[in-house]
Amino acid sequence: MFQNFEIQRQLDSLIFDYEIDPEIVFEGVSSDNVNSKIYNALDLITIANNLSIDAVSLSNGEFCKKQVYKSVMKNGEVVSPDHLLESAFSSTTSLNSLLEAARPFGRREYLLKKLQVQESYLSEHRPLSVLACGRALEIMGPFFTAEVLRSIGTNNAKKFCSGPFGEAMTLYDSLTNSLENFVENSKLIEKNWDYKIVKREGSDLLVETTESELMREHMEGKPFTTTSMNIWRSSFLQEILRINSFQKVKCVSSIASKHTSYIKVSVG
Amino acid sequence: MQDKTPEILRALRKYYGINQVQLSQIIGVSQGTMSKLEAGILDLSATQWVFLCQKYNLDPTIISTGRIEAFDNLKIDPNRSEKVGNFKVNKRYQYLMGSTNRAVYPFVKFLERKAGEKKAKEFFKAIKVDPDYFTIQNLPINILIIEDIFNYLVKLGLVSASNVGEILTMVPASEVHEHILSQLNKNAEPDKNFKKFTKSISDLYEVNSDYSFEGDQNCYVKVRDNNHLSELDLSDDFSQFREVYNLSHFNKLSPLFLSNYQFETTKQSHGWDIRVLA
Repeated sequence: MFQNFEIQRQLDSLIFDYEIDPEIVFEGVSSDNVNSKIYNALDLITIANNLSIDAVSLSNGEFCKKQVYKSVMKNGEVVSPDHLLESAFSSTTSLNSLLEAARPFGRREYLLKKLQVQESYLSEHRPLSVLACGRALEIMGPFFTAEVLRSIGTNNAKKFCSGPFGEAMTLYDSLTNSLENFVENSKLIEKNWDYKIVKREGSDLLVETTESELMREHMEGKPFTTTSMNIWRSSFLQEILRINSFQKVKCVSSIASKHTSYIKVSVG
Repeated sequence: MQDKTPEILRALRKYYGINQVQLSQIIGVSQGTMSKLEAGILDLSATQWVFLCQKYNLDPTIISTGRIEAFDNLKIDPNRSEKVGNFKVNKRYQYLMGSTNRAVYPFVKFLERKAGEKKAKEFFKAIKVDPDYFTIQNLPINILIIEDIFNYLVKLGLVSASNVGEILTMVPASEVHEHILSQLNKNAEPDKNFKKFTKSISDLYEVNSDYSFEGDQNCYVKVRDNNHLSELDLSDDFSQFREVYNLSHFNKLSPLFLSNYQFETTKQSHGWDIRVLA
């Protein structure tokens, strides 16, 4: 076996730049392997477990070292994944809905490690960058069928409606009023998308949703209007409207451009 | 922590239908090395493991459990007629596939641990099932596999009506139900947790029976066989075993759900009711 320079570079950085105790890093790894810097698969998992991060992320450097330092050297008393708190216009409620859906595939803990999100931070509704859900959706791609995505959206809406957002939403007698109320109050949930009703035809409504300026800045132009995100969001809207208009509602989304999509809202 | 990469390598290769030469080329080693890696004679390097995890979207930590929960989203469907993956599995177990390996897992582990791995291997060879199939937890299989393992365990004198619960002691419920236990709110009402568990059975374990949570003391959970079971000639002994084994599950899970319920079953036509003991 050969020395893996990239893994060693990441470990050296944690030890020398962030002053993480090597005894913590290498606990459980044979001293021969530590000295020769040749690690087998089990060593890598042991080291990643010691650092509470995902092993693949450790090997390619796609992780937040500051977060590792905080969680390892401060006895795990970290309550904020600070790398996901910049432009935190989404919330832990949404991420929790997604994590629930990942459980049957044995991926919940894996996602937490990948995202470096602390379990304790998820215990209540708190702000979080949309990047967390975006990255998790990417990882869960092979598992999350349209049906699973729809259930995530539906469950997420139920959670919001039973929380503070639900109190802000008033129950309405018509779909139009309910949708208008949602559009008006959507910023209470997240500031990532702007909603605008662009067409009304009988009981059918067309909503244009565009990534907000805030989100575009945060994402540095990377489009977030993906098919899976769209299915999730349209199912979310469908359930919100169903709960608040007392009617069966159907929402169908279509991508219009890199940053914009349409959601057709109709009764039935 | 044990290194279970050999099991995972073999299961992965057979699932995707690739041979040792092809996998050795993917990883970048010789076929001889590949063969030694699969036999556990050589260790996989950190880099090779990372590469495999990335390529096949594996959770790297499965190295210690040796269990792949799923490669994709596969619904349990007893009407599925095509086999999943490229494992050698006797046709006897590849129709009316109302179970999953997740449900068979405790039996396989019980057999391996109680009878020894050598005997377990011999048994699987005799029934023409590649034991690597069981590494992937969500793969479908006919309930007859459980009956056959059960009969073998009885023949070896390892299981009797009085020690059914031992299967779940040797392979703890916390391991068997790792998934579902992790998603329960430990502070929630036991009823809510049992309800959630009951609902998850058809998604994760099996659809041989319908489990409906009634919440009533006399019928806490109603368990009824699904139609496809009538097409299988399950023995009376095994049917009785299923009931006792199932009851054992609920009793073992009870303290984990912070409940002090103890259950018993009442035989019903095509199933049983699980009632709460006063």
